[in-house]
Amino acid sequence: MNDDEYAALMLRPLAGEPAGPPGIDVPKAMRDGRRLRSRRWWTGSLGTLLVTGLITGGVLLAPGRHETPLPDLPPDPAVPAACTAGRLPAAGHRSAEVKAGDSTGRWLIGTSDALSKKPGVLVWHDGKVVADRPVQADVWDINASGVGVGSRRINGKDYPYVIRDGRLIRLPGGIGDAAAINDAGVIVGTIGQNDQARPARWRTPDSPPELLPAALGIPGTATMIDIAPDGTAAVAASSLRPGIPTTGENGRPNPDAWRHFTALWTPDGKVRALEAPGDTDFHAVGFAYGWLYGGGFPPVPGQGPLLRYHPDTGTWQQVAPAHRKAQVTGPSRWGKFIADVPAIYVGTGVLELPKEMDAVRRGSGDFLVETASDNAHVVAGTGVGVNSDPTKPFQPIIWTCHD
Amino acid sequence: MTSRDNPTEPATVYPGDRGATMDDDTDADYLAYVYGRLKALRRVAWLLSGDEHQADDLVQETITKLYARWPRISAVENIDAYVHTMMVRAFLDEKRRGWWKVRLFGAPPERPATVAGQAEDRTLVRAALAKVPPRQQAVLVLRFLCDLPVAEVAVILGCSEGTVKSQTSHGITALRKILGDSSMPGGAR
Repeated sequence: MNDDEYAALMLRPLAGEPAGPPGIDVPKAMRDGRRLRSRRWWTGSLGTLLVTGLITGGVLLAPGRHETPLPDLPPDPAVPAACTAGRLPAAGHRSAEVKAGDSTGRWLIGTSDALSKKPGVLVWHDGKVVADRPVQADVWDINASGVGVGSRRINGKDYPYVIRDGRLIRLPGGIGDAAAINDAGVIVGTIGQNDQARPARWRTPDSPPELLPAALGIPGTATMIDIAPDGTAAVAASSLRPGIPTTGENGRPNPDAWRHFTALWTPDGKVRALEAPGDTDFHAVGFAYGWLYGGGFPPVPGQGPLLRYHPDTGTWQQVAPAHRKAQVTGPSRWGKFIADVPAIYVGTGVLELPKEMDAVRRGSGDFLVETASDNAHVVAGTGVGVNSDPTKPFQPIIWTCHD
Repeated sequence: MTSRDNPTEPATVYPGDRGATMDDDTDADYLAYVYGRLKALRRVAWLLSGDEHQADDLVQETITKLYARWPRISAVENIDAYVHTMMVRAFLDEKRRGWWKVRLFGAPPERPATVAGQAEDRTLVRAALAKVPPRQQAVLVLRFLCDLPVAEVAVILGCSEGTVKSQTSHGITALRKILGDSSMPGGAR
């Protein structure tokens, strides 16, 4: 056995890979590195070492290994080439609205006669009404198993609910709200109300809620936004910027005193705040196409750029330098708006949808787009008369698209 | 009426950096490089140090200095060798500072023990390697655990191939003295 063979054999027990999670903070490296740049430490000894190395071993340099593998990012669906608009059935109700849909586009959930004395909850499957319950409730999401979530008002207080097979089942934990459900059946929402509300997660409709752990200075009034397919929840929060008065010169609240940010609450219970590039506020509005979309505050068109964040790789993308008048679909109540021309973001593109002409003729020719399937082939929302005639009934609308 | 909107490729930051601007191509290149190399860098750091915490510290220090120099060195032909040079230098610096005295006993073990014999071998060999002069440690690790050829180790250490060979020889001799020929790991004889 020669020396090399001896050394290889001797050191073999040390081979392998580190097993624990990495504790490396790339953003911190950039911040610290930026400070080093400003001190011009780049002229230091390591540069000399490099030069020495390149000189002494110059002819021995291995061929350049410059491949820089990038993170695996989910492919965006193609922006459909064409869509047709149609009216969903409303089970005889004068007014009905779509509030949410599932990832496949087969399930939709909404409410009927919301402004009347006899409101109800509607569930559609493949375009047909399969549940019509006369209860006063808000509904916010539905998954691919047809399980919806929302809240029901009883004696002036809201309670979190699931809607399954046409039945409403109260979630454990008391007063609160169920904001979103993923295809695995994990539900997120809030427990408590007003200043006492805390983001919460239910692993199943029967399990007690887990409350967002106190971390990162997130105030208890943080807002639950959405849940990803893997169970990661997005929570929008605000915190006071140090040293900035909360009241402006005119005596009114100073909006610049608040920093708006988003935290991710992962299934293992950990919470981390997202830091958007360029010191940009990032207020999430929902998960779509594998990304978390959001913008400044408020996250509506005309209020700065629209960004998206890919949780698995930590990648940020700017969807639009100025948030266009198009909808980020999803269960979140944030960032929704009514437009005379319905449009949604598909990946980083914008899909303009045709108006549903029957709704236009009935005076409900403004549109609130709420949901799109993962392949953007099924889009749904509501035709309303807010801008033209608010007394007109709501019209549930479905758009069917193809590439 | 349906219309497509075909934007140009979106500005991207890999992964998030609070201080970066999304149209900063230099930062994007750095992030792409670091993200693509992070796992490999951590492995080299771990093989050098034998400790995950110190490995993370070494990588953190290396990529910090790399960022500071990135505008000037991003066009270097062999960035990997440059980065390895920085990391080995950081490792040798830490050895001089006595990092292990500060951290080694401050953290509980995080991994479940592997097969007892393997764990004993690892502990034995790591302890022996730690007694070898640091520069010889680096040579042995780079050559026999990272499987780098003599020429590349020479580039990383900024020395001649002959020096690498002599350092290798001295390191192996030291290991033989510490461990003895009869104590081959895993029962090999």
